[in-house]
This record gives sequence, C-alpha cells and structure tokens, in this order.
Amino acid sequence: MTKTVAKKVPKPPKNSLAGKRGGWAADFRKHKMLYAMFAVVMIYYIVFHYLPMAGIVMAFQNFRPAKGFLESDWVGMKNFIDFFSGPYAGRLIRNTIVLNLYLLIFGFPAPIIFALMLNEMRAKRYKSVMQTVSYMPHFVSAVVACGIVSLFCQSSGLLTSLFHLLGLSDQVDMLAYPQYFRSIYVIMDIWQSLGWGSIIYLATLSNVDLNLYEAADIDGAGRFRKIWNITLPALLPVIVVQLIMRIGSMMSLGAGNVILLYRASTYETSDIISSYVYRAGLQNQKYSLGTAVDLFNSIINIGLLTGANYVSRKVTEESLW
Amino acid sequence: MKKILALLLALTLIIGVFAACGGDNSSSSQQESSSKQEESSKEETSGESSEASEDNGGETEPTGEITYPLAESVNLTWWHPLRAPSYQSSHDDNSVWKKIAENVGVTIEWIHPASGTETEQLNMLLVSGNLPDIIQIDGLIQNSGGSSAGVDDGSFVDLTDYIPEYAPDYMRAITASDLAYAMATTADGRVTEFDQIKQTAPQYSRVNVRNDIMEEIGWKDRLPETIDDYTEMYAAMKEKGYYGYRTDRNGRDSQLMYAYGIGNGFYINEDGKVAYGMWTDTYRDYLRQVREWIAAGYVHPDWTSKEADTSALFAQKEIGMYIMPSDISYGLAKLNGYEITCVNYPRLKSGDKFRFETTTWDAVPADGIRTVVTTDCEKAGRLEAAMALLNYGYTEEGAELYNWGIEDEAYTRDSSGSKTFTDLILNNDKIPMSDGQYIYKLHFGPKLAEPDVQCNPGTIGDPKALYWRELYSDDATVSSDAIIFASLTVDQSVARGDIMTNVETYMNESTLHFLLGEKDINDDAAWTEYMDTLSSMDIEGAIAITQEALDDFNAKSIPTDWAFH
Amino acid sequence: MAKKEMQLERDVEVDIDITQRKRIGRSLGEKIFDGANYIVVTLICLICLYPMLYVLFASISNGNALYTHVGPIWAPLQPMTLDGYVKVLANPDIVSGYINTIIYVVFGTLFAMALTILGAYVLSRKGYKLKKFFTMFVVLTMYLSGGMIPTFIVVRNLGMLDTRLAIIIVGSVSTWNMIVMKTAFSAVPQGLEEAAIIDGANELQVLTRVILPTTKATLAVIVLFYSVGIWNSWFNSMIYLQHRELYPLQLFLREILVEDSALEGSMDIQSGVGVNYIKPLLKYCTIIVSTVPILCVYPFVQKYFVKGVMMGSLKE
Repeated sequence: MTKTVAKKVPKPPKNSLAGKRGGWAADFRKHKMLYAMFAVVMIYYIVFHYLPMAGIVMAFQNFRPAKGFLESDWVGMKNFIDFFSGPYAGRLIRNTIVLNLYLLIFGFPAPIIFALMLNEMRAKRYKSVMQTVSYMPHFVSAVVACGIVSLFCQSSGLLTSLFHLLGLSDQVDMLAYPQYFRSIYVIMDIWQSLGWGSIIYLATLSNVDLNLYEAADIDGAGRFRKIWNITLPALLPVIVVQLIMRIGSMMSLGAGNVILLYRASTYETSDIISSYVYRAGLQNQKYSLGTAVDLFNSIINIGLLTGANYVSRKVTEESLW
Repeated sequence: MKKILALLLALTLIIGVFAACGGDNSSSSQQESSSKQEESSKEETSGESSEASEDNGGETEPTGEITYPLAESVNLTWWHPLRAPSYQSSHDDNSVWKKIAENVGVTIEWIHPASGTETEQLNMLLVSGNLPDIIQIDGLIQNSGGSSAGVDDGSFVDLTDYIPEYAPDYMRAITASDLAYAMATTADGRVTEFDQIKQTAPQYSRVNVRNDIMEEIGWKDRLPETIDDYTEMYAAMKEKGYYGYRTDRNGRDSQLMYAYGIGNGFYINEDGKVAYGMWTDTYRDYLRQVREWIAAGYVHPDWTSKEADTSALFAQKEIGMYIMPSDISYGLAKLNGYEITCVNYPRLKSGDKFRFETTTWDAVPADGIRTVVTTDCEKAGRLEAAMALLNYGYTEEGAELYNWGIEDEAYTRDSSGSKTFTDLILNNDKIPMSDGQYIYKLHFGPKLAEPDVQCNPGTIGDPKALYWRELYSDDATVSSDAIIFASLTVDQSVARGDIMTNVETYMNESTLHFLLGEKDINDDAAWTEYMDTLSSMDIEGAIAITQEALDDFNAKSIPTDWAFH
Repeated sequence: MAKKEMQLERDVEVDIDITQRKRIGRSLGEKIFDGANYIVVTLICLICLYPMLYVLFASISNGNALYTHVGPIWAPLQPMTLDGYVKVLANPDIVSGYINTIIYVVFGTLFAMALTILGAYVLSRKGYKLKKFFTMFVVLTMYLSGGMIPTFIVVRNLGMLDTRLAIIIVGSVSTWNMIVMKTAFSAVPQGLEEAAIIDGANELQVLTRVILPTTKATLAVIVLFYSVGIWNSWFNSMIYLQHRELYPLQLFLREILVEDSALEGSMDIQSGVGVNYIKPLLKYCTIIVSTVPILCVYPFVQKYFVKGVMMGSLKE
C-alpha cells in the first residue's frame, strides 16, 4: 500500500532547489533502513575490493615485490605495448574469444537442459542419486581430470576410437593436432560443470508453485507445453543474469585446463591470453605484465557487460541493473 | 714476510680443500699467473680436479678460523622450504639441524612455508617487509633476478666484504677454482649468497636400453654408438614389435642434439661464440633424422603427450631405449625385474668429440641451493652470527655433519675411517630413502657437498647403481667446452626473457609441426621461413646478451685485493 | 512427514486425473519421452561417475603398478593396498587440518551469508535512488581487481596477517552469489511482501519474515556453494597464514600432492635406488579424503531443492 502511494506523489519541478533536496532527502528518510543495511556490505567491499584496486598501478610499473608500489620503476604503457605489439597478440585474443564463444553456445545451455531433464524425472530417489553423481567431476582436481581426458584422447584411447568410428577424426593422438583442441576442451568443460552448474537451476525450479502445473494439466497441456509455458519462464531471470555475466567475461579465460591440455603443436588454437602470460611469467617476473593484461581484459569485459545488460533490458526486461 | 704468509695460507687452503673433498684430486702445483676462465675450464675437462691449483697468485686468503661454538648464543630466524613435508613438518624435529645449531652455538627459529607455492609466499614475505634473518631462496626467485636483485632492492646483504672475515671456509670453497669463483659471484664480482658447493660429475643422465629387448634383436653384446647405429637399432626393435623410444614431448632430446654438435638452447660453438641450438642449420639435420624415425614408426605415437610417461613405457617393455638418470632407471629396473645397460653419449660419427658434458669435476655451486642473509638481520646486529652459522657447512666438521648425518644414527664409521649409511636411511620401512636423505642427513644445504659417488645413499647404496654412474667417466673425448656456466644479471635476464617467450613459442610450435609432418622439413622454403621468423623475433639479440654475460664470466678472476682486516 | 505425504498424494491425484482425461496422450509421446530422458540422464551420469571411480581405484592400487601403468584404469591395480590412506591419514597435521577447515567453513559461511543476504535484499528492492549505483558497485568488483599483492598489503596493514580472521573475512563474499540470491529475492511474489508491509513490517522484518522463508531453496544452494568453496580453498591460507597450526586441510593435502608432482618434473636425481612408488598413489588418496566429507553433506542440503515452495499462503 505504501508503495502505491509513493508512486502517486508528483515529481518536483526540475530546477527547483527545494525540489532537489526534497527528492534525495525524502528518499534517504524513506529508505534509511535499506541504506543502513547496505552500508555494512559497502564497508566490506571498500576495504577488501576497492582499496586494493589502487594496486592496479602495477600495470604501469616494473613491479618488484621488495620495492613495493612506491619504489618500483614507472614504465608507463610499456607492458601494454610489449604485449600487443608481439607477434601473437592477435592469435591469443582470437583463441580466447573463440573458446569462450564455443563455451557459451554449447557449455551454457548444457546445465539448463540437464536441469530440465532432471526436473521431469518422477522417481525422486533415483533423481537425487543421479544429481549427486553428476557433479562428481567438479570435485576431481583439474590435474587428474585433464589426465583422464588426455588418456582417452591418445592414439589408442577410447574417445579417439569413438570419434574415429563416427568419422570425426583419425586414429591419432588427438591432443597433438590443433583442429581437435577446441572440441575436446569444450566437451571436457561440459563434463566437469554439467552437474554442478545445474544446481542453481534446479533450486530455482523447486521454487515454482506446483499449482501452476496442476492448473496446466486441467487445461489439457502436454509435457512440452508445460515446460515452455511454466518451467522456462520461471528460469528466465536466472538464465538471463547468468548469460549477462558470462558475456561479461568473454575476454577472460582461466589458464588452468588449457595449460594441462595444450601442446606446442596446438598453440594455433589452444594458446590463449592467460596461458601465454603464464609462460611469459616463467621467464621473468610476472606481476606487472599479468596486471596489465588483466586490466585490458577487464575494461573490454566491462564494456561487453554493459552492452549485454542494456540489450537484455530492452528485450526481456530482465537485467543486472 | 708477506710471501711466506701467502705460501702458508695457500697451503692451508689446499689442505682444507683436500680434507673437505675426501681427497680424490691429485696434487698440483701452484700457478702464479691469473688464468682466464677458458683456459682453466679446458684443464678441468681432462677429468682431474684442479681445485687445488692456486690461480691467483695474490693475497686473497681468508684470515683464519672461526671458533665454534660461538661465544655468545644468538637466536636466528631462518625461512626454509620443507624438503620432506609429509614426513617432517618442522626442522625443530630434525636431529641433524639441532646438532648443527648446537655445534655452532646458536638457536634457530624455523619458519616454513606451505609446500607447493613457495615462490608466491616468498614474494609475499618480501612485500610484507618483515624479513627473517636468513632466507633459503634456492631457485624460487631466480626468474626475477635472484639474490643480486634482492641486494639491489635492499632486502639482502651484499656479503662480498664480509666473507673473508665472517665466512672464511665458504671463501675457501669458492676460491678453490676459477670456475667455482666465477659461478659463485655476480657479474661484477659480488658475493650475494651462500651456494651449495659440489662436484657434480660423473654424469647421471644416460641413454638406457633394456637388456631383454637388445637380446631379442641380436644386439646382446652390442651397444649403439652413432646416430646411424640408433637407426639400425630402432628398426630392429620395430621388427620385433617394440617402439624404439619416446621423444621428449617438445621433440628435443638433449643428448641426441649434442651428438650433432648443437646444444638444446644456448651453447658455445666450435668458434668459441654463443649460439642458439635451435637456430642453426645443423638443427635441420637433427629434425630430419627424428622425422624419419617418427615416419618409420620407431617412435611411440603419443610422444607429444605429458601423460604417456616414458618410465612407464620402458618398464612395460613398450619402448627399448630412453634417456634417464642412471640411478632412477636402475631402481625402476630392480623393482620390476628386468635389466638395463647404460650407454655412452651418442655421436654423429664414431670417434667424434663430445663437448657437452654438463657436470663438473670441480666443486662448484650446484643444485641451485642458495641461502641469503637479510638486511633486517644486519640491522639487528646478528650478521656475524648468521654468517658463522652458514659458514659451518663448509668446515670439515660441519660438512661431514650435513653430508652424513649423526654418527651411529645415520652412518657408521669403520676402523679404516670409511663411512657407510645405516638402514635408517637405506632400508627404512616408514620413510623412503628419497625423503630420509633430507631427514637423517641434509642432502641439500649451504655446505660443501660430497660427490654422489661417495656420499649419495641412492648411488652408493647399491654397487650396481654406483657402477652405472661411474661408467664412461674416464672418456677422453668428452669435455664441457660447449656448456655455458655463466649466469645473467637482472637486466640481462629480463631483456633476454622478453625475447625468449616469443622465440620459444614459435620454436616449439615449428619443431612439432616439422616432426609431425604438418610442415615439410625437406622444403627449403619452409626452413628459410623458420630461420627468418626467429631472426625477426630478435634471436640475435638474445644471443648477444648471452655472449655479453659469457664474456664477463670469462673475464672474472679471483681478485688479488680480496683480503682482509 | 505429513507434508511429504500430502505432496505424494497430490502427485498421485494429478496423475490419476490426467490419465483419466488423456489416456492416449500420456501413454505414447510422454512415455517415450520419459524413457529416453531416463536413459540419457543415466548415460550422462555414468560418464560423470567415471573420474571418481578412477580416483577411487587408483587410490587403492599398488604404487609401483600405478607408476608403471599405461592407459586408463578400469579396476584397482593389484595388489590392492591401503598404504596410501594410512600415510595420508597418519599425517599428524590431518587432525588439526580438519578442525581448522571446519572452523573456517562454519564461520566463513556465516559471515559470507550475512553480508550476501543483506546485499542481495537491498539490491532486490525497488524504487530507491541508489539502486543502480549499488548494483554497479558490487558487480564492478567481479571484473576489476587489484590482485594478490595489493590485497595482501591491505590485509597486512590491518594487522590481520597470520590470523584466522583473515581466512574467514578476506575474499569471502562472492558477488556472483549475491546476484543469484538477488534474482531469487526479486522473484518472490509481490503480494506476500505487501501483505507484510500492511501489517506494519519494516525492511528487516520483511526480509526475515517473508523473503527468507520463501527462498529456502536458493539459500540452501548458496550455503552449499560457499561451504564447498571454503572447504576446497587453500590459496588465501597459503598467502596469509604462516603458522602451521592454523592451516586448513587442503593446504596439507596439497603439500602431499605437490611432492608427488615435483617428482614428475625435476626428478630428484639422487633418489634412484630408494624411490618409493607410494607417491603417485597419494595424489588419489588425497582427493578422496578431501572430497568424501563434502559428498556426504550434499544429500542433507538437497532436500531443500526437492520440495517446492509451500503453496497456499497466497490463497489463504
């Protein structure tokens, strides 16, 4: 009731000082509890996230831990120039984005579809066992998981034989050749994150009012109708938010699995920004170069994020902000 | 008077060195001339230790001895990575360290980082600004300039002027040969760390073949010597259903490359100049040969994979030859019930000289074990005590304690004075030898280490292992002429590192493309493209930097005025 | 228990209802769909099960056999042995590691949840001026960060180095989780909130009386995410803690893991004759020891997803 009343209050004329003060002051008065609640959160973020951001200056320095920020030499844009004028910058950026796109197109829907499939299962105990099993790959350490994948992709490996039968590959050590890398990487990612990623969707689905399904049944709706009209709309807010955040990380891809799976012979498709920076860091001190590259990626990511958020708001009315 | 003193002190030095090393060097006369590095390394390659030769002819002798235990006990803090974390989580529990502290007359407060990410933790330590007295940096910060960069940053103490007085035994150790001195000091002749000093020869990494496969192919008493021999051997193995070997996953096996006369990286060529092995026309010959082997099916197909473990393949009788430290190979064979033979370095043609011996007969800084003293320690007035503690490992008594452990616990001494390790290390149910050697003796440390063939439980524990290790060590055609022992300064390291990231990416990628057949090694245009691209990435610049470092290294000689107060 | 029965009854009622009305529709298309669904899900789960089986088999395999084995493992390599587990569990630090981890998980989750709930609630409210700013404020931190060293310096200057507090507080709140929670809070039906406000509830009371009870599933999920995240984490501990008495389990286990991988890389050439091939084995035992407790916790949390929102509050 209070909310409806508030909406009806006419906005004060723009140029009136009294109006302006009234706008903000009234807002603070009315929502002071909200602001107070958030103040606690803000303090945490300021101390542990925004204060350290000052350290981004490292990107413009030749940082040495012992010298700290004040004493390390300033090199301006050198770290950026060095990285981008290198012979591989284009390839690295391309590979990072392409892999992320593949992950977006194939890896993003996978947990959603899996959640939908699980949701349609009626046998509850079986369903919960399946759920538990499905996220086991998430807990196996990356080293072991990549080790298993490598074994199956060897010249006499299971996966290789399977692909060979399907006519998708030769009977060779698949990870040695650049044309297979992206597919294997994405398949592995899906395998690892399918179960764990579906949890959030399943939880959202469990919030859906069962009455809706009941009503749909009475109206004579079939399975797919119900999924389309009830289940998916319920998931839409979560999906959209996840999608926006995913698009907002197009420029970043962790080096972990890549480093464990790639070979020099597959650099053409497998070497990404973070794996290159890792190798560069092994040659000499890492911090400044890593920070510079991260900063560049962040700026692009924020741009993408804002764009995705805007589009989403226009199209679906759901957005981050 | 000065001359007599010089003679006396030089004599002490010789005797001290003999005692510490266990006396495997012949007597040599003093040489008055200050010799250049190149000359002495040529001498050393004959296989005799020349550490007793005094090349300086000057007054660089330590003033004397330190009396242990020290008069006043001091508490020193030491940041030290754990060597056997799953068996001993603190040096406080280590009996050998306790004895060392007791003998020196100090108390040591240990700070141990969590294993696995020591570099990050060390960097955090440097950031935090609250440094302990002594830091065991080992190889953790070599990529960012090591101890000399640390001195420049103001974290570590420049030890040069203090060594003669506070660490005379360390001084003896590093002035025992020109090579040792050149390796133990920075480009501008400073001493910034305590290095473990060790004679690393004889060579541990050898070509190994399986006796049973060799017999099957009719090579019962024959061993491969030249590259063509290897081709013949692989073909025979393939016929019997085995693979010849498994190439290193980057396609470059050092010993095979050495046979062609090129190094696996930077090396010194026949003209005495620095060259980069993968940027030579000879590299093409090497690649051609390996490509032939791969195409013929002699090489295990999964060779680019990290997972296809070579040792496992060899133990499972899938490959007939591999290159592996002889100790480990022998141990694996013993455990799995087959026999191996170690083979001498491969050559291109019979009788070729081999210039790439990586181990030294001189006792030089080895294994990358490095210790520094911090400026915080100096400011607190504990510098002398810290250096005395670190110096202890280079005294006769100290070295024995580090290398052998505690008498009657880790080793026993018989009537003739020869020492044997006890079962505590050799045959311990609870703690494997590879860990026991860090607990019951201190295999790595700031000390004068004894050569493996005398003092390494893994090598001397089994006579056969010792045999394999010593075999071929008297080969007169082998020298270290091509090996670069020099290290780079911080600036050189950074500059070269910047170039090498791209060079190595391209070089590795191209090598594999040639070996996998994606690019044709016989296509001249492809090869020219390879060489030109590396050139455009400034490989010449990297070579020039290395040459500069080498020249500085060779120009070093033990200073005549490094005397003391 | 009664609720569960009611639920089942409802399901059965609905089923009977439908079968009565559309017998033909359900028996063909939907049955095929159901069957296919079960098969595909089972297949996927078998593939997901394999890595855990692999680790399990490897952890009880003979060390030497494991080291010299070529190819994937389909059964424990003979002779089976529990030596790996004995070694890992006999590690004196394991007990203190477990205790520390439990402390960090419990308090870390509590702290993180407190802030996350507060933040998510405020962000999910409508009609106040700073909403957009607040959202951007937290979201930006997901993309821009000072990194390890600057954060370390801040923690050091706060005097929190080498304290349990550092592990519980620093980096514990995840903006991603907060956004997910915010989405769930926003989805709570307006009517419920309005009803409470009419009754005179302030913001805090709306949060505790309306929002929290109706989003239990999402809350459970976020608690799970935080707990698992803290359980598996070792990086912060590695940087901020110096005394081994404060180390969590993962740090000790990583030491064992790393010792083994150090062997693969720059093999200690001295250790030839005495190499004990128990080390490759330890890697797998470590994973099992650190994972099994979490796998046991999940079923308890899961019951929150299975049940749905209790319908009826609107109608009543």
